[in-house]
Amino acid sequence: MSLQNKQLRVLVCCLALLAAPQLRAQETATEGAAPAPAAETPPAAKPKQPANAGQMLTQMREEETRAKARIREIESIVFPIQDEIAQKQFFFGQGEFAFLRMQTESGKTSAKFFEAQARIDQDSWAGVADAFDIAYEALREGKLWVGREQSLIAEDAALFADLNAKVMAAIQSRPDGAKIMAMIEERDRLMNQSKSSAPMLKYLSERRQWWKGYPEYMQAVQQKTPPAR
Amino acid sequence: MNTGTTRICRFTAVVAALFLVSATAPYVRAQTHPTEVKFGEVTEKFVRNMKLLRTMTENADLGHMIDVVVKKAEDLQSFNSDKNADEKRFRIMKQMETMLKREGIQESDQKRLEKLQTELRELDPNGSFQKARSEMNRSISELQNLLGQVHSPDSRSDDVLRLIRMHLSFYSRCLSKINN
Repeated sequence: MSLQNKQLRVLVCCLALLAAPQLRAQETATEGAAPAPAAETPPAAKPKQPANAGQMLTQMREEETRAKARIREIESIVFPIQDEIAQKQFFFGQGEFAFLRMQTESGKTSAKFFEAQARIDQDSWAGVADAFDIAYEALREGKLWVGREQSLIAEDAALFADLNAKVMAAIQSRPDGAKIMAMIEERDRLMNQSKSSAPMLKYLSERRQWWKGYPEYMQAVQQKTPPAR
Repeated sequence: MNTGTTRICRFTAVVAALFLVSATAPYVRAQTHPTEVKFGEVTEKFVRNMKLLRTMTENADLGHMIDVVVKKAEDLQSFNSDKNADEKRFRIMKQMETMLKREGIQESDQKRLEKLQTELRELDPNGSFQKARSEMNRSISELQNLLGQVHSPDSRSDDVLRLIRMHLSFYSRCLSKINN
C-alpha cells in the first residue's frame, strides 16, 4: 500500500511539472487581456527556405515592370489611332472614345467592388467593416468610380464593345492594320499575364513575412533585390 | 490489476484528457469562431475612410461638416472603448441577437432579455455613450441634408459625394443596431 502511495505521489508530481508551463502560459495570456497566442511552431514544422527567394521576387518584379512599360508603349501608339477612327466614324468629340474605354476598364476594376458589395451583409458590423475596407482600398488607389451604379457602367461597357468592334474592323483595313492588330493582341496577352501573376506576387509577399526570420534571406535580399516599390 | 493501479490509471487518463483539451482549446476556438468585428472596429474604419474622403472634398461647408462627423465618431469611440465596454457590448448584443432569432420568445427568454438590456444600460451609467450616439445620429442627418444641397462641379466630386453618402448610410445602420 505504501509503495502504491509513493507511486501515486511521484505520478502527481510528474503531471504537475508537465502542466506547470501550460498553466503559466495561460496566466500570462489572461493578464495581458489578449487572446491566447499560437504556440511557437517547433523548428521541425517550419518550411524550408526557398533556394532562390530573392531571385524569384526580382524576376517577377522585373517581368511585371517590363510588361507595364510595354503596355504603356502600345497604348501610346494604338489608342490615338482608335480615337481618331472613332471620331471620324461616330462623330465623337475629342476624348469621348477614351472616356468610354476608361468606363469599360473601370467596370472591370469595380466588378470586384460590386461583387463584394453584393455579398456584404449591411446589417452586420462585420459586413460594414468589410465594405469600408474595400472602399478604403479603392479610395487609396484613386478608383472613385467604385461608388457608381454598376448598371450604368455595364451599359457604357457594352456600348464601347460595339463601337470598338467597328473601330477594329477599320484598323484591319489599314495598310499597317496587321501590325497594329498584333500590338493589340500583345497588349491583351500582357494584361492577362500581369493579372495571372498578381496572386503569385500576393502570395510571395505573404511568404516574405515568414522568410524574414531567416538571416540568409535578409542577406540575399539586401544584396540582390532592388528596394521595394 | 489491483485497485490502486486502476485508480492511478483513471487519474492519469483524466489529467491527460484535461491537459489535451486545455492545450487544443485556443486552436479549436480559432477554427470555429472567425474573427468577430465589434462596433469599435467599424467606427475606426469609418473615421479612417471619412478622413480620406475629407481630403478629396473641395466644398468648404461640406469639409467642415465632415470634420464635425469625424469628431463625433471619435468621441463615440472613446466612450465605447472605455472600460472594455466594446467587448462587453458586443457579447451582450450577440446574445440578444441569438435570442431574438429564435422562434417564439418564452417568458424565461423575456426575463433574460430584460437582464441583458439592464447589463447594456449598466455599461453606460452616466449615459455618455447614449448621448454621444444621439449627437452622432444628428450630425449624420445634418451631413446627409447638406449632401443633398451640394452641387458637384465634376464627375470626380460626384463620385466623392456618392461615397460619402454610402459611408453615412452604412454607419447609420451600425449605429441603429445599438439599441440601449
